[in-house]
Amino acid sequence: MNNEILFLKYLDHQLTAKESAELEKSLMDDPGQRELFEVIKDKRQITLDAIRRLNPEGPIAVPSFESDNLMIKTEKLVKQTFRSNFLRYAAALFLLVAIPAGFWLLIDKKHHQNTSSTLSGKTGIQISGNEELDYYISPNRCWNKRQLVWTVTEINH
Amino acid sequence: MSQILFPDVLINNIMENKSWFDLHYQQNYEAIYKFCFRFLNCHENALDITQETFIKFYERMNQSGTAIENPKAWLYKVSGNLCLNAINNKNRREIIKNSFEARTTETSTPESILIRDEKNALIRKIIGQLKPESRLLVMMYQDGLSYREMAEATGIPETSVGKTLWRIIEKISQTFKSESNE
Repeated sequence: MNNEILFLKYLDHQLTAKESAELEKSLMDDPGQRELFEVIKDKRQITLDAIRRLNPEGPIAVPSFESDNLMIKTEKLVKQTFRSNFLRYAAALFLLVAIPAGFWLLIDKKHHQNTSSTLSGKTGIQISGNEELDYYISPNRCWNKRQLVWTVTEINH
Repeated sequence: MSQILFPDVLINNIMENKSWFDLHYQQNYEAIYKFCFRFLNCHENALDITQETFIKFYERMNQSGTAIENPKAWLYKVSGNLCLNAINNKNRREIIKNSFEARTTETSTPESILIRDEKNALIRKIIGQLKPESRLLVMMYQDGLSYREMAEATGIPETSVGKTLWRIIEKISQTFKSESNE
């Protein structure tokens, strides 16, 4: 079987130049080997012909890859980039709005707490931090914080 | 305002690889299509798989990192795997079966064509009995791939390629001889 595989490799041009030369020499010297070689050559040809039968009939046109797939791919890439840029801008805008808003809320809360403590110091009413000043006053009578102080003082007196 | 430069950069990369890709596309398209057709016996599926193979090749080419050492073997490997997947896929299997039936019925009137179809069916029967790797191997053999390329594409060790091929050759030639004698 080794010889058969060697002959097959020879027929498929898979041997080196040196190996091919050796094989050719042995074929010249040995008629039995030559006969075997011919048999293998025939069998190989039969197989190749048989497989060739399975090929499609008629010529095959090679379609343009660029016009179809490449353009689709490029469009896809452009869309992806646009989408990622859009997300980036949206995140930046969110930060621009969220950071000042956060600061403003924080400052307002502190100011609110300060007002409460000042008020409680002046009036003697113990107002906890969480307590809303609007609880003590009517919104119509107290529309700003200065008036709120007077309003609460008047109530106490 | 800054222009969106990313697509340009990507397109430039694409263009750089384009000529290299085009070369392999033109060189191998027909062979890959024929290989898929021989395997599946269905024009639509063979076209789909050929296209899918080249899209994968294109994507792989544009990926940074490892380069494809042997593009031909790579293309055969991917298309071979896709063909095996197609056979295992229920929907595609149905299409392949229908297309095969359509081909045999539409060409069954003239005697010569009938004989040809019978012979084709016989080859398919013989090849169908082989292991998937051997089946891929014999389909590649016709395209003149080197033993190394076939080994790379099928996963069969290079030293075993000759032996496996010889077994298949013997089987096909014997069956054909006995059929022609009958």
